[in-house]
Amino acid sequence: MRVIAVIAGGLLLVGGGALVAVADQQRVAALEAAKAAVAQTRQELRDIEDSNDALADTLAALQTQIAEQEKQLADETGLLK
Amino acid sequence: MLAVSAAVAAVLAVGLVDRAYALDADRAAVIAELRSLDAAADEAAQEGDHLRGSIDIAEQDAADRAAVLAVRPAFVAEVAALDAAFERADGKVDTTADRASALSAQQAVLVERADPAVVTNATATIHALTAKIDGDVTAWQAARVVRPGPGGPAWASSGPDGYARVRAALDRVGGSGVGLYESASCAGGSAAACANSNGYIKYRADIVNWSVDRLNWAMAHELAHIHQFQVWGALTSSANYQSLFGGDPEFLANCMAVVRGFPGSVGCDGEQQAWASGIWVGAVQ
Repeated sequence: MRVIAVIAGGLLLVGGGALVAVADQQRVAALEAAKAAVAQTRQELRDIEDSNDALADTLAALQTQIAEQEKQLADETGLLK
Repeated sequence: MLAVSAAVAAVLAVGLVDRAYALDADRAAVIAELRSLDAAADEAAQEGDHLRGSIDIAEQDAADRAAVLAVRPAFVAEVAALDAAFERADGKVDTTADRASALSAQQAVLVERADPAVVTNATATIHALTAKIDGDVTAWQAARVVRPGPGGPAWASSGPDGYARVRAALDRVGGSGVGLYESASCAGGSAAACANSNGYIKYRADIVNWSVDRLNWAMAHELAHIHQFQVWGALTSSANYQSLFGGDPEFLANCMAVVRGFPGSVGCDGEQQAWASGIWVGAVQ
């Protein structure tokens, strides 16, 4: 009886240990996956911000062009007074 | 032995639980950071969409303004010509209404930012005003000079209605102060119409049946001769008249009709038109 108990206990111990190891591996994998997602999203954000900087430069250049055109359109040189 | 094993097992268990909690805490922190980054990326993407929309609008605005600016120089040039016409008319004819029309057209141009047609239409308006004022000045000048006519009634076989039709054409092309008479004898022959150096025009009776466009051209052509007579000496001495028109008053008269806006079957190029336009205002260039 005692032998059976020891064997059973041993089996439970080994089984439990295996479960704990698997659970631990899963936690580590989930953490690594989350970190990878963070790195990817950070890169995507950098890309979008770079693109927005270029768009803002384009818009600023157009606004400068429009301001110059406005100056020319408002010029009354040569017109009737 | 059993107690030692139990103690070891207990310590091990505690360690494993701590590690599990630590891993879970790390993962929660990373997930929170990921959520924050996602929100920032969404906001940046929306900012990008807004910038693209603003760029589309600005590009269209810039293109519209460029199209309007492209046709402004022609308008300014016409205004300069009109201003010169006002100076020529000063002390001769009342240009108050014409100036008001010009200022109205000019204001439409100054406020226009999108449609170049507004500017080109205003340019045509100014051009027409210049031609009208010059015509009015010509009529004023003609009215001040007493020139003898051929004598006799203004019409014979063409009748009052036929005469009125030709008269209307002559007035329309700017000859409202010029005498007009029906005659079967023109320039020693049977030409449809002719201009006399004494400042009047004769027409053959059958032209009263011509179309409006043809009558307009004919009267513009003969009125052009009247203006040629007024500067005849300078004209025939002009090297440009020889090189551009071969010294041919008929070719010049046809070109002057084109400039006045009443072309016939004979045209002329831009350089000839520019030179011919001066004869209308007594300027031999």
